[in-house]
This record gives sequence, C-alpha cells and structure tokens, in this order.
Amino acid sequence: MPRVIYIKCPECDREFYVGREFFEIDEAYCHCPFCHREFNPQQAVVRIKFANVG
Amino acid sequence: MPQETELKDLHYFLSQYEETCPDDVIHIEREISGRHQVTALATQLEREKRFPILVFHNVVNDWGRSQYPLVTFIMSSRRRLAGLMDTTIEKVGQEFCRRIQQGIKPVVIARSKAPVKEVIETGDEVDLTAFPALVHHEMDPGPYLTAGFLTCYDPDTGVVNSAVHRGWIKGKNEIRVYISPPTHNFNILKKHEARGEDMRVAYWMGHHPLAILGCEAHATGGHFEAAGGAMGEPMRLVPSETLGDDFLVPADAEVVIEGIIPCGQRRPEGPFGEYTRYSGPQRWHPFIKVTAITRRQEPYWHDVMVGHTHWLASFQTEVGAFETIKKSVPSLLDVYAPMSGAGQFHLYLKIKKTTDGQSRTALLAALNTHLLIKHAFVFDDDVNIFDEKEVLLALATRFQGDRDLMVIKDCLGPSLDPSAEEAVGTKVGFDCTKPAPPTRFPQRLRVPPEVMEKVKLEDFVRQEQLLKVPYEPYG
Repeated sequence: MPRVIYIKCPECDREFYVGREFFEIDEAYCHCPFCHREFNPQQAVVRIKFANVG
Repeated sequence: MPQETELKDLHYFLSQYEETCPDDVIHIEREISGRHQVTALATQLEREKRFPILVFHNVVNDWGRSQYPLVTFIMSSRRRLAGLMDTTIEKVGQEFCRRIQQGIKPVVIARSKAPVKEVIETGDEVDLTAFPALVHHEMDPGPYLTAGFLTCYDPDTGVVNSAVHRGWIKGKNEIRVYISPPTHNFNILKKHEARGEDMRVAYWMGHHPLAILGCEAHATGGHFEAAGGAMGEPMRLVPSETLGDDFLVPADAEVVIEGIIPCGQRRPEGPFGEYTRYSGPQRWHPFIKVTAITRRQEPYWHDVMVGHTHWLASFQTEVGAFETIKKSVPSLLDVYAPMSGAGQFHLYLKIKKTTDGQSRTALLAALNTHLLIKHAFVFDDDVNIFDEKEVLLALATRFQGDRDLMVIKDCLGPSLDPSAEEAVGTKVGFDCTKPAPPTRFPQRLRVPPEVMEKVKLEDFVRQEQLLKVPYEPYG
C-alpha cells in the first residue's frame, strides 16, 4: 500500500490525502479539511494517485 | 500596555528591540483575518526579502476577534538573530553552538513570582479559541499553534523533553498534535502507553528568541539548560497547575497549556502545510485534553510562519553539524543550512582542504549528523557558501558525477519528505572541492586587485544614471 492515499470527501467532493494508517486501523476516521465532515475512509471514493510518495 | 521585566522574555525582547530598531518592527492595527490573510501578507514580505517582526493587534479568526496580539516573523531574520548573539550572519551558527555548549542550569521559582501565572484558567474556564491562532495555508483544517514547545517527562528516567510540535486547536479544550515517530516525544509517549498510562504534557509558547532557539537545540545537558546557555542566564521554571509540582514549565513564557494525552487514543490531525513547503497528509495521531491555561494578563500569541523563512530548525541543524564534523575535520570553517533546502534538507560545508579525503570525511560526518539532512555539499575556502550563485558555480565547475558523488541508500530520513518512502530515503554527498595541494587546479577569473581598487564605477557612471538602468533579477 502506498504511504499516502488521495481520497475524496463524500460531502463536498474535494480531494485531500491521508496516511495509509487510515486503511489499516478499523476505528480510524477522516476529517475533511474543507467542509469538516467526518467519514469512514473505506466508504469514501478512494483514488491512489501515486505510490510510495508521502 | 504589556508588562516589562528585566529578565529575558518576549515582552522584554520586543520592547528593547523596538527601541533600538524601530524600523524592524511593524504594528498592524487594521483588522485582518487569521484565515490565510496573515500568511498572504507574510508571503509578500518574504518575496521582498524583508522580515520585520510583525505584531497584529486585530486578528479575526474562525472564532471571532481575539483580544490578544499575534506576533510572527521573529525567527525569520538571520540578521536579527545574529545581532542578538553579537555576531554575523555567517558565524551565528557557530556562536549559537558555543553558547549552548556552555549551558546554564534552569532555576525553579515560586508560582507567585511567575509572569505566566498572572491568569490561571482551569475546568470550564479553559478556552483555546480566545487566542488568535492562524489557519496558515489552503489545506490546513483549522487554526494551528506553530510555536508551541510540547513538554513531557520520560517515565523511566524523569528527564524532561521539550520540542516544537504543531497542534491543531480543535475547540475550547482539545488540541490534535502531530508527534512523528522519530522524535523523543514520540518515544516518551510510547513508554507511557506501554505502561497503560496517560501522558502529562504542556505546551509553552512565547519567550525570548534566544530561549526558543536554545530549547529547540539537541543539547546534551537538556533543552532548558541549552536555553539558559543561549540566553546567558538561567531559564526560570515553575510548577504546573494541574500536572503536579514535579512538572515544571517556563515561568516567563507568554502562555502555557497543560493537559493529558489519553493513553492509546487517536484522532485525525492535518493535513498541514509544513516546513517542507508542502502540505503533509492527514494523520491518525494523539490529542490533548486541556486541563489548564496559564498566561500573562496580556499575552502575545507567538506564531512561527511554518513553510516560510525561519531559522528555528536551521540553527539546530548547523549546531549539530558543526560540532560533529569538526571532530573529524578540524579544518571545517563554516556550515550553512539554507532556506532553499527547506532549512534542513541541505547542508553546505566550507573547509580548508589540505589533504585528499578530508572532503569525503566531512560529507560522511555531515550526513550522519541529523536524520533530516538529505544532501550535504562540501566546498573550498574560496567559496562563499552563503551565496548560492557561488555554491552552484562550484557544483558546476569542481564536481564530476561519477567521481564526486556519494550515495547512501535506505537511511532514516525526514518523515515529512514528500519524495521519500516512509521515513526512509537516500542520503547524498556532493564533493565540490578542488583536489588537495600539491595538485594544481585552474585559477578562478579575477581582475588584478590593484585595478579593481583603482577603477571606481562612480567615476565613470553617474549614480542617477545608474539608478535608471533596469534591474535584472536573474543577472
């Protein structure tokens, strides 16, 4: 798994990136820095844009 | 009016400095948003290569207008920091090294004598949103404290650690904190968690710039002792309000935020615009439940403009490097961690090369000085390492890739480096020196000195004529 993963907020559709630990820890949830929605990263649109780049 | 003391603290520094250098302190009374606008202003000054101390008296952030002034850019002028140590821009790293090696042990004073105890807020009184914390860059999720020293105690040794860590102010009494794995504070947190214990912590911020520089240094005597050495007087400490009498914090800080990091608990933190000049990813990291805020009546909120010019970490890098390299290469003359390397990734060395092998020895030592140093460059004593045109010319004319490049793969490196995998990366040394004597090397161009001395520009071109000639920014 890459070090950093781009995800898209399900509320505002804007992209940001998170560490891979969000996909390794069950209770981890993301916080959209733009609209402040908190969401489960597994349910977000996930797009791996680049590998091994942090 | 802010109170003054005779001791070295931020209030004392600002009043003294403004008296001696009034043009280098700008007070901004006009209302400005703490969301990106302060950073926009700072960015424009940075492009102008001007770094006055900026004091904002009317910051409106996400929670409204703060009644406290915000001060930033204090650490952004190498010239100013050199002046505080009575030295030059070139020698300030070495002078700083000398000062912290002569550390002065801190002293403990009574709560009643501590300026930072003028106001004590606990329980429901705690309100971090009262401060003018900034949202610096586009992807930052909220206001951050950027000049806070996160302080904690090693549960095994009792040794205190105090280092700058960014903190996202998430509300009245919560701070999400980024504690990256290679740091001492991370190791201390893991020790607490292995015991199943919460970790007592305190953020302190706002102090004399020399105390801040000293405390950030990795000195053998400890951070507070190094701060005393940098200042030339002991740092005054005082017991905390809610963390026990054995938990000491700087008595002359502007603000102290006390709290606990709950054992094993994590929350999202970031993304955040970092010193690398990139936004780092959101992390699943610890948070602080704030138990008390102690402060001055009229505290300055000190901000470090992260991702822009500031010398806080660079000096630390230069100090460590100078001490270490000098042991194996005594002919080391200068070290410099330039802003073009984000203040930490690049290190320039100047040596008086007397024998072959010295330059590579210096590079090896430099790359091992600090895990944040990715690329080290070594130059001869005729190169001004503080002038990057000189540096790049030496790279262009004294360096051959197949001969002078040193590549060391799979080293521990900066965790925030956007090009590295995890915190593991490649360290590279560039030997940009000439062969040692007696081997000859072509002579640099020069006009005979007596001719340079004789021919004066003003004798041939009038000053007013010269000023009309267009300035070439890339000349």
